[in-house]
Amino acid sequence: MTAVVQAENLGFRYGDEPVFSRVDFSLAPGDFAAVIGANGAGKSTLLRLMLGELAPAAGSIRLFGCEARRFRDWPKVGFLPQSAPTAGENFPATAEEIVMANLFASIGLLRFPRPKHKARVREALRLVDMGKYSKRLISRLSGGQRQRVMLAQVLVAEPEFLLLDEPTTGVDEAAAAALFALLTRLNRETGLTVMMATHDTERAAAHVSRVLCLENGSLLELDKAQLDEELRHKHKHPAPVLELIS
Amino acid sequence: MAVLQYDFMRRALIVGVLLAVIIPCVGVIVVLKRLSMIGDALSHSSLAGVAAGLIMGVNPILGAGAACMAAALAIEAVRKKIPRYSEMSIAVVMSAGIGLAGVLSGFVRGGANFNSFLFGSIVAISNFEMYLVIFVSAAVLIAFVLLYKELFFIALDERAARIAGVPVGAVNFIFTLLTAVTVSVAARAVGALIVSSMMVVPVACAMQLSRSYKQTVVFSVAFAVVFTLFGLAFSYYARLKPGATIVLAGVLCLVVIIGGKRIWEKLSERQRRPYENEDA
Repeated sequence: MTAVVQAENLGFRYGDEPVFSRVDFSLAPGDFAAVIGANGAGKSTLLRLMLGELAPAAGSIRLFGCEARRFRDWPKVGFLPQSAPTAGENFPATAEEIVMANLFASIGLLRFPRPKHKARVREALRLVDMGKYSKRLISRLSGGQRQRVMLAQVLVAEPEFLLLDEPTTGVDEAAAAALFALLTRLNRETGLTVMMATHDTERAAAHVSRVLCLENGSLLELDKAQLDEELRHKHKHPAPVLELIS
Repeated sequence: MAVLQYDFMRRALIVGVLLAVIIPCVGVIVVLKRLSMIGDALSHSSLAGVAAGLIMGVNPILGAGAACMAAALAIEAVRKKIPRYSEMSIAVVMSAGIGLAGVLSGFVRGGANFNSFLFGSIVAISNFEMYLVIFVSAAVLIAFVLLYKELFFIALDERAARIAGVPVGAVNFIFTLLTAVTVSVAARAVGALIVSSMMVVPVACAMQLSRSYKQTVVFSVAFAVVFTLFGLAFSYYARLKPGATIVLAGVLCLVVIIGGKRIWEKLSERQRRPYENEDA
């Protein structure tokens, strides 16, 4: 079976500054993986390499067996950027119009949406629990609601692989919990392969099947014991400044 | 309708209404892509083409069209080189266009024709120019309708559009050409200094009231048509410059809408409060 993503000896650098090197991993269909790591560790860079927006400095990264830079079957891949909660903040479009935009591949160039496309849009909005807001301007929605609309926009194209960049940034606790619950359900019920870059290690550990940690320029897959250690480490916060002063 | 008894006024009406339909169609995308100044850059550059056309004895509208296209392609090229500061590309091309127009205008014999392009002369449109506007309007309108969803997606999120398979480069190139030809024909009618306002003001009015993207497009066109009809009639009776009157009518309408909206919001807030207190 072809891997959804396959990275071999992957390395990347911004100018002379190396970000990571010798990264090897693969995702099989149906995997639900989280990439964790500190700020600047290269999580978003790894996602951009998968999207073919950056060229590897070394090694290769393949999507569905094809070099990411040469990959053309993009409707198979859904991407939810970090900016999703602020997407369309000042854009005069309804949730429905925004979701419909991503049906481009299904509708076709220079063609117009048909009733079946409108039904798919309604279904995608219902799936993320935004059905009743379909006619609402995106600028009138909260950050969490906007993120759900953007997720519906990604899901409406029925991707086989879903990539998310820091999906819990800029949304409240309830919205983050609902998002993880939805992703888990989609992964279990439809076999959707999911990979996310996240800081939310605790929540990721409770939902995903694999955790990959980017640290010191290399990628390591964490087993249960390592993950527990990571969670304990994350909770060893330094004493508050006031406490230290007193 | 005594105003329509003259040929020149009938031509002005046809040209005005057609431009009022196509300029906001281009304007909606320009505004949503945060490139509102592109109209200014292209129209100022068009003046260089007008001057060159007058010097070489070529129809100045054709010269304006060629200059606009060159300027639009230059903006796209610079925008690709420095994507993080894309608005700088507009300033660079606008400076070059104004500079070139200034230098070339010194070689134009009899400045009246050149000056008519600054504020436009919709009532002095010739039959050839009217047919050119009809042809360009049909082309722009067909392209806008066919590329409706592609332009919407690119304006919303160029990266997502590319991932979804939209040929972003090709659509952007076509849109750039559409903008250039629209600006070049509009410069003759409403004036190079005013055309960018025609691109932005009706869209700004529509965005205050619309509840969807489709409504924004429809309202923008409707506002532009109303401003044009009012501007043409008012300028005829008050003996004012039509292009400038059309734009001033638009700006006045925008001020009234923004003011009216604020008053409406305050009134609705007051009406809501007593119920909120009752609930409390």
